Amino acid sequence: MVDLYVPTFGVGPYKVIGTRKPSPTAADRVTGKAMYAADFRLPGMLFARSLHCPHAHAKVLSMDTSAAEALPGVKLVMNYFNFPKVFIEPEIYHAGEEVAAVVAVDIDTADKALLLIKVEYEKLPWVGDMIEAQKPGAPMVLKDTKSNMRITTGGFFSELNAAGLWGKRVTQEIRGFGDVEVGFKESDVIVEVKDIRHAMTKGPAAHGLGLTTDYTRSEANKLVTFYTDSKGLYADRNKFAAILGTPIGKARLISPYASGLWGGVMLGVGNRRERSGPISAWASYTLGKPVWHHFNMHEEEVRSCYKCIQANIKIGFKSDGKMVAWEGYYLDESGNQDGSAEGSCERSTPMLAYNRHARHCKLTAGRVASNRLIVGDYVGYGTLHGQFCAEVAMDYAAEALKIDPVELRKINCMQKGGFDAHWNTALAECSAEGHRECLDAVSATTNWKTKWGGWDSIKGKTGVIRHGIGVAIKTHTGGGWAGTAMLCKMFPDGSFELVTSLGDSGQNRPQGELMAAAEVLGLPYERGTIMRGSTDHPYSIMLGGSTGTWNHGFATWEAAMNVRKQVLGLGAELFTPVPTDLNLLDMDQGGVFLKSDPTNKKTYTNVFARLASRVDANGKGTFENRAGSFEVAGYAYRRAPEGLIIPREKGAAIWELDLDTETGEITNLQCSTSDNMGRAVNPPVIENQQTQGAHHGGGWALWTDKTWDPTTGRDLTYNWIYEYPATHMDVAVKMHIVEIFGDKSNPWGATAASEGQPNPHGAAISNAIYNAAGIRMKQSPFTPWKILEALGKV
Amino acid sequence: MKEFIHRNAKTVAEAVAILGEYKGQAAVIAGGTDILSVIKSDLIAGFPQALVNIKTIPGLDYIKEEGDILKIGTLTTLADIASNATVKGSYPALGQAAFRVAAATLRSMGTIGGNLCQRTRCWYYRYPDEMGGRYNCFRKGGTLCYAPSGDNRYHAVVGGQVCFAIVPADTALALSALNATIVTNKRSISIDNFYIVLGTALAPDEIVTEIQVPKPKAGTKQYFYKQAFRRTIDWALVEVGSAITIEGGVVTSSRISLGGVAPMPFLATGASDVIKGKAITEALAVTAGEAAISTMIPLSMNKYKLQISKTLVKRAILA
Repeated sequence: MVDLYVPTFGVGPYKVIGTRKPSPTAADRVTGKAMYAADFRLPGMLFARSLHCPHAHAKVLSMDTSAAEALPGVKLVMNYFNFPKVFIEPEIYHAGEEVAAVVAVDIDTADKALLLIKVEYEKLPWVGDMIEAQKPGAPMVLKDTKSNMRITTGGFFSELNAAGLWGKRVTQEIRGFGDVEVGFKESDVIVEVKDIRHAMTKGPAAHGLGLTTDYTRSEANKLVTFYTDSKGLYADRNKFAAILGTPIGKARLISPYASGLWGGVMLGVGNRRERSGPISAWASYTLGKPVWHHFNMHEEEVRSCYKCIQANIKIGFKSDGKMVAWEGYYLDESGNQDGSAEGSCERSTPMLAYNRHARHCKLTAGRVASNRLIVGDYVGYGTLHGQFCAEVAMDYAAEALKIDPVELRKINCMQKGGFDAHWNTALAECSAEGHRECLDAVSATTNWKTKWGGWDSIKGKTGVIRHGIGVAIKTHTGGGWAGTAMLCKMFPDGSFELVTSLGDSGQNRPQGELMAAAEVLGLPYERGTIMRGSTDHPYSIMLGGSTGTWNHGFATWEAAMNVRKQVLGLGAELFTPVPTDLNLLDMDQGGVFLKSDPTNKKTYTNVFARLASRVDANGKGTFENRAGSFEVAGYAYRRAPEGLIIPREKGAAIWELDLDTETGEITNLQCSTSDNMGRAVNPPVIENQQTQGAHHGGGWALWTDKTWDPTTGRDLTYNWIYEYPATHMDVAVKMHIVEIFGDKSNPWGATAASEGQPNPHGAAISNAIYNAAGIRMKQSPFTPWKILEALGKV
Repeated sequence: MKEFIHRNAKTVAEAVAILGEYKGQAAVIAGGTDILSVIKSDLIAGFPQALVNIKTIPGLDYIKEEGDILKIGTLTTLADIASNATVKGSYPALGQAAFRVAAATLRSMGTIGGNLCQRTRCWYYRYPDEMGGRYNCFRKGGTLCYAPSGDNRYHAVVGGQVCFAIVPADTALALSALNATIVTNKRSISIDNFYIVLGTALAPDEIVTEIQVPKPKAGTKQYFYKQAFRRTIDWALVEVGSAITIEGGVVTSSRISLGGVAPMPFLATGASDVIKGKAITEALAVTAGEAAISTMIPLSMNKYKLQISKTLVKRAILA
């Protein structure tokens, strides 16, 4: 039997880890019992609704709110002139931006009052997207700027050591290392691809149907409670507290069923002009009542996340396919704010994904402002966008080199021990690899070699319907190091409980933690429960990507181990002689037993009764037969192990499709996708992520286009009708779990597999279209009209 | 959601009376999959003041063949039509069209009457009032259609004139091909006249009660194909429904109808003229496809619809 005092980092054998367990929240979610932030109704609750600007760029000159204020049931009308902290400034930067809010006794009254508000606008020149914004004479989006484009800074590395790591980092506008001019001179084949574009739209918005603030406590106890859907309650708590200047300790967040949502992201990293939180908070503060700022379907959709990238990429290779140099120029659309552009470019280049051979890399990254709402990068700082550009360019390169595109990636993909520039520190070492295994998995399943057929096979394809196949890899960041806490409890009936504020994201979402605790305690998974969803519970880091895998992994392991030690210690006292080494004991659902005699079990009722048979401070022995009222608890606060370089997400995808050359229609979509996530704690979680990643990544690449009206700048994709994630009936997804054990970033050897799931699919589809019909689709979405244009049919 | 009066009708006459009472400011609700969306978006100022629920009228949910006429009650769900053996056997184009409407849940709620009478999905017409104010387009009584100067990728390429919104009813294509008749409380209307540029020809106090489809002659081949982004739910980019009768090796009659290209089902009479009296060949079908689009004039962003239209017409003929 494996000694569970020592993590085996995935090697096992395990009883629970690696088995297939259902989510503890699934039943509530699918039956409607789950209470999301918008489902809470509090005594005396008021309702806030927003007035949206019809213009893409304008200044609010004046506002007459008298009629709205006079409407029975209206409690408060908010705008820039009476709540400048909420509305920041009178200037409006995108159509649909909030210019006022009405707080009333119900939603209908608030909506009626909105219609009574009269706003005087000064219309200002506007520009609709990043392409238009770069043209000479384009209106300036941001104040006091002479260009809508700004190059952002990053790290340039030098002083390469013998191990292939760069030793010195300087912050400047050019990112990378080496000298690409030298690199291109050394190259036998140079490939250059210009004007690659990829956009994604992710709905719904960060706050599902809005959020509620409850600032109704007495003066003596100024607690403020926020009901918001968030996977990072503690990260958001600080931002929410800052809205009102509330001490952090007096701010509570409630979010019982959050999953991939980022409740406070708009308040900080997303968009400085986010107003839902401030409207709700200041209205509640002013009126002394709980206030729900309500979004409806259209408001959610217009506020949904959007981001576009435009890139030029030049890559140099030796004739054997080894990459020598990479030069890239990347622009990210930042909408109405002065955003950064770092993640979109770096992770898909020799700075991480292709770190094996290339020693020359020069990346220039900038942002372009436009009069659109860009909520945030989403999907890991824009790695989806950068990956699309890189993986499309790699297919061009494979063709120029006359190399199998799978093989080209295997020659150059991320190498353990290679440089990992994204940690922004010198000498940062890439801790893991796995692309090759993932490529092998999807290649075998799809019979890649035969179906792909070589570069010359494309010319031989005839007929109206043509089958194509394409490949791409993914590489993704995996979150940060900040610590996290877990409280584990066990009870006399052999059940256990975890208490945390863990969100529902990444490998170790709640069922993963329950499985980990069950493994340590030797108890059935089904005997466990998890309490979470509030800052009343122990601290948890925001779960970006698979951050929780390594942070929660060790916290849960240690908390459960604390319980295990205590229970074994209590149980030991029931044996004669009392074992001096707890490693001689084990526990399962039947009780505590000697490993040498598993048949002689001491039930937990008897074990926990020992808690009541103690000698008190006066030396008097006592025993109370009320074991049922006891619990054994263990608490742990852990960070990922010191010095650990957190592994990246690694995977590959191959897409197959049929392309109708007369209609541009793409059908028979099939996706084979793979991930190396170390040990899959709960395989269905990985499979679910893979499926969703294929559906979303495929839908963005094929169909979804955030569209604005060229005459008004308004978002025309204001409805879910215009979101096109693929469904199970649209795409057949074959999932592959590629396990490589031994990673020490998690007690079970689990590594990252989460946020980057959609990343490879757009490029793989683009490459499959080329394989089918010989047309390069380097600007998504690949709609029928774009395909027909490329085919010369339109 | 705005306030409205909800009235349950027990008979068609009562429903019509309520509609008349509100003088065009009331709407019919059956499955509700479209009208509730209209209300939530506050699409038309003040409309509707009342909803007339016709689900409470008994006897409007049926599929039956009487003589050579298929009769479908207006409350029959799209799911029932798609799975009906008679429909699938003798009117397969209609069955396939019903199956391609939206997704399974919506087909279980949505009715054939509602599918035919739903409002267009033009994104200017449907723009929600709360997001900065509705577009007061021509269809809503304004003076301008916003599509020609705006983003018109999904709009009409023929028959637009003053409004370039397209008819969204998949079943209308099949019914057009099958030369159906729409029966209301007042009259019987040929499917060819049921749609006008700005919607349906129904009067404010007129309700569709039944759809009648003549049984196709022996030797008639039917075809339906809907090209949409996804095959699971989306509205058509372009779709085709056809019924082509071949006797003695030559086409004796045909009705080929295109959707997604006009405010109403676009009957490709040019294509029918090309194939009439002739044996079908690939070349003939290509020529017919070209004829089908000969009167189409694309807007700035929807030229692709012509290519798809002529292809689908060709395939319908060759099917």
